[in-house]
Amino acid sequence: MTRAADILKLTPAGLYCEAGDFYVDPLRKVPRAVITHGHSDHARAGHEAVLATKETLAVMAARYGEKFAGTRQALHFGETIALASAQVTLKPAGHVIGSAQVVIEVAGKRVVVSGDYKRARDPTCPPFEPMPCDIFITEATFGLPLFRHPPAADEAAKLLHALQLFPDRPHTIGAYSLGKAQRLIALFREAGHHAPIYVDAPTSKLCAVYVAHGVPLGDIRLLASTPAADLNGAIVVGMAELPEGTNDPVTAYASGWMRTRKRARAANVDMPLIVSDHADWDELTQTIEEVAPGELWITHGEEAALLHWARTKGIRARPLSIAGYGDEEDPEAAPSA
Amino acid sequence: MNRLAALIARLETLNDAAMKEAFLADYLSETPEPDRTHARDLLDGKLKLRPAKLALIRGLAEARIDATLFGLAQAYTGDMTETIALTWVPNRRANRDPTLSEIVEALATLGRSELPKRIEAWLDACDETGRHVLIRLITGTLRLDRPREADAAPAADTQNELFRAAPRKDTSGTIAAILLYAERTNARARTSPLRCTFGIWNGDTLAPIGRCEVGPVEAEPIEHFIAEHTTARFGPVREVRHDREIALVAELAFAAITPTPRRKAGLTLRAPRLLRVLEGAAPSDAASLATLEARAKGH
Repeated sequence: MTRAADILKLTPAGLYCEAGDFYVDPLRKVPRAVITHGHSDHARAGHEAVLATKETLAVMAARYGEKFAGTRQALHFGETIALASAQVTLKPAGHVIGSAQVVIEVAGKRVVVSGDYKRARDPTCPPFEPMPCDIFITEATFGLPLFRHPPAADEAAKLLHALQLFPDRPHTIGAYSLGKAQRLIALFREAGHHAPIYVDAPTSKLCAVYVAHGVPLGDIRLLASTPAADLNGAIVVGMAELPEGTNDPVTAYASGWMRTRKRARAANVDMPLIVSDHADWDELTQTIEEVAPGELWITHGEEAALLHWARTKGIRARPLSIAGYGDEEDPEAAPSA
Repeated sequence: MNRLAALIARLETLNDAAMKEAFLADYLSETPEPDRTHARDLLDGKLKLRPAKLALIRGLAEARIDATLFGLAQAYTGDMTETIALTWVPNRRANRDPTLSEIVEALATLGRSELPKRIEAWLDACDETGRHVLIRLITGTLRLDRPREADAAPAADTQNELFRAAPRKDTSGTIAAILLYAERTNARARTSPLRCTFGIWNGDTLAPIGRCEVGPVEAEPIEHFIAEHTTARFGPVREVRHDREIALVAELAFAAITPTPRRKAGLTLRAPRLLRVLEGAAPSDAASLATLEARAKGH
């Protein structure tokens, strides 16, 4: 008899599926990896074989070069593949382009590794699909009941409002180059802002991946090759500095952490924008209720509150130590297996 | 309340006097009387209210949420007003949030026994920012001064939370650098500040250029990186991965670039502090020693 809890094991290299002989989002180079999405802490270069959505493979190629893995295989959302005695299916996670939950079935038991995910609307990727399962492995980046992200379109509108008030200043937005940047650009386009938007080189490479996979972003231009005067009154997305000679900018920074006053002030920008590609507290608890798992494993983030909540709902829950804090009193404690 | 709260939150993050004035003028132009006068008085520090007790509002909040969850949220924010505002789950949305004038009038006329119900209804009707400013307003902890005209210098002698005279980016520069080592300043506490050593590229290696303390809140992305990428431990000091493939890149501000010929880099940042972790930045986005040398000569 296979127990659901035996399908995945936590090893030093990350979550390992023995029945299928593969790792999910491994932390080190491994022979076979299934990758949920292209953020660098989940998608590393140098695995011998990588299985992911074609969008995630394209993101990895854009970031690490074409030789990022020995061999690669693309799986469509909803398509199932047999890896030894495990059946593997990728389902949308709604986090960034190509982001997938990994659904693993062995002998009638099902484990879902959600990767990073969100439930809020995002015009740049398909929405999260809840999958009932025996074990649900969730993140908890914003796992405290004080994190409730406002609609991202409202936050984008704040920036466009500032652009109306200060039509001669560049408006710079610090944003993660994969996902956040493209989501904001898409929201600006939806709100009717069709002027050129300037991006730094890392963001530009990833915008090209989005466009190549059917996500229109409008007129995107590279910041580095733009005369300073053209940036006045324009939106600039990314982390690069403005060239000399522009007017004083309006600065913004987009992150779910901007919810609290302390963090918003620490960002040291004119306009902290609360935009996140991670589930907030309500989305985490809603999702767990929908997938109704027999057991909940939490990979990383603010897990204490979510563990408490799950237990009050009668859901067995345990923290994994992947990327998480060890024992609070003893930072040297080994990860629990 | 929500619009006024959004304005106040905005004024609190802006440094530039002209921008403050523009946001304020925009708000006032869209605000009818008598709210406009009340808002002006509030920003001028002239609006006098009979304050309500925070303990009363805390009691309303605690009746709505699991005590453990509330405690964890409070441990995170360290600010009871903010904890209440952010964890409050509205029972039902009113048609609209209360106006400042309604709040002023109610506080002046309602009896003590009627007050809790009214405050609860207001909290239900406001958004997160609205609740936060509302609670500060009615507990008497919202201290504001109105932004002056764009070209006038702020008065230095007034208690001026919104309009501190600090010039924008009061440093001689900023730089993108890579985290090399981190050490907890108090090994026993999970939330103590981290002492972080940063370096910049010198050819294919990284040369240390400065060390700074990072508060527990700002250190969170660094904590995550340490948890994933510790490569060695020297007592309390963690060495983290820092190579061309994976590294944590952060933007530092500094007061000056100081020549230190005995150190490997030959230069050190004076009074460096973390502005932010550049999430998504590639290791190659960090600065090089050559750039810093050029900037040192330019000074």
